[in-house]
Amino acid sequence: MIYFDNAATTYPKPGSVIRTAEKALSDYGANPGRAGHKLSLDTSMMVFRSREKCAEFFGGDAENTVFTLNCTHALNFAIKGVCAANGKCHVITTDLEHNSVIRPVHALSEQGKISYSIANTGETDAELVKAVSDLVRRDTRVIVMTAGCNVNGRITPLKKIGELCRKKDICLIADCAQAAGVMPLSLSDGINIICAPGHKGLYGPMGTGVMITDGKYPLKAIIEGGTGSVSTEITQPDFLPDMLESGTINTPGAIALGSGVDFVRSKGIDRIYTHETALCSLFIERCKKNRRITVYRSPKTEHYLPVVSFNVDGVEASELARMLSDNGFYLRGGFHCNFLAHKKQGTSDSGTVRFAPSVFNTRLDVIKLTDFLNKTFK
Amino acid sequence: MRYFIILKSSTAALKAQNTLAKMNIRAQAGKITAKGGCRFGIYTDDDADKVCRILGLSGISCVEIQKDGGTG
Repeated sequence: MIYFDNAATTYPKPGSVIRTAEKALSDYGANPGRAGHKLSLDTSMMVFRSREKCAEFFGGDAENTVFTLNCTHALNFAIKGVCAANGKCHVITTDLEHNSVIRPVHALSEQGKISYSIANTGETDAELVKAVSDLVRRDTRVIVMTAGCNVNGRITPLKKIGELCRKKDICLIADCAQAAGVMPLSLSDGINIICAPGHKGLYGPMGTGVMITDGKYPLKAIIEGGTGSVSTEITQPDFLPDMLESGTINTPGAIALGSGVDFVRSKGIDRIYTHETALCSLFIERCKKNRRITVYRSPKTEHYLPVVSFNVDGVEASELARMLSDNGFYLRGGFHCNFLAHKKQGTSDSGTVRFAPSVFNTRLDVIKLTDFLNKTFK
Repeated sequence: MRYFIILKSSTAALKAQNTLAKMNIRAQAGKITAKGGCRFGIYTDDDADKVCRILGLSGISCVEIQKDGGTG
């Protein structure tokens, strides 16, 4: 089996992450942030250490770091939380966005709480920045956009958008689903809220994610409940992380996520990016020789994440993914929960198959996959 | 004299414990039942006002200082 579906979730997980999850389940089994007994406090400390690691990784503070179930969960907290605190306002997003961005934005619009515009990002950084800039209105309070598209891998110029947001006093929310752990991302880059999954480039377990804010823009809770704090108050705590962490968190997952962050740090983000990008280049190079294979990348676009969408002429994407699976290659076929990007690149009929390597894949893995593609589809 | 310093959250209490440990000030995160319900903070035998000033420099605000360690 060769696994190339790492843009959905990385697999395998590092041994250190697995061991930490096991230890969390066996040794830190009390509810963190609830009781005052030793096991609860010890578990809380393990969660806190992981929270600190995630915060440091993204240039934030532990108290402003919220554990979530995944990136979608984090994005919902950020988008709906900031919009609720702002009142009716205008939101800008882009035509590269995953449903985890466009659906909550659209839902808020349907409820009459916001209006929104979708920037046509073109193909270059300059086109993207201009498109977003042109949409800014007096009532624009939020720009929410991906750090890198999950369909075609295009990296967006977040720092430049951050500069625009700073000048216009607009909250920048970054969907770092594909970019976290693969490229450097920091609140110091002008991003106000970073939303990231734990289970992709950070190599944590599924069911983990983080939302990290610089605290500049207030948030409101979108779900309420038990937090272990100020328990006799009928209102939700107004401080982080408690405000957004109602109910028991995924404690073993959160603790193990800290080991995932350690793993990424030990490998080095630059080295991870270089390794995975080299595998993508090898894949593209070996597919180029096959006229039946189309790779969806633009020569005008400056930077790509290590994610490649492709199709084989005459084979529907999901069917191709099934055929690959039957032969031991695990890739995802379809729309990747992002109809906007497919519409933009002209693949909205049947989607694409996505090649997404991880730090554990090798050149030999890519050669085996491309040999299979080139032998099967002549 | 032992004090319990109420902090904003469990996370703030753990952050305070770690911050103080780096300065060789002994403190232990804990929980008490107080006005507003369950509150987290730190137990310390050190000068509570001094501890709060140190925590303030690290961006951790003290909510309330209680003598004798609260109810635990």
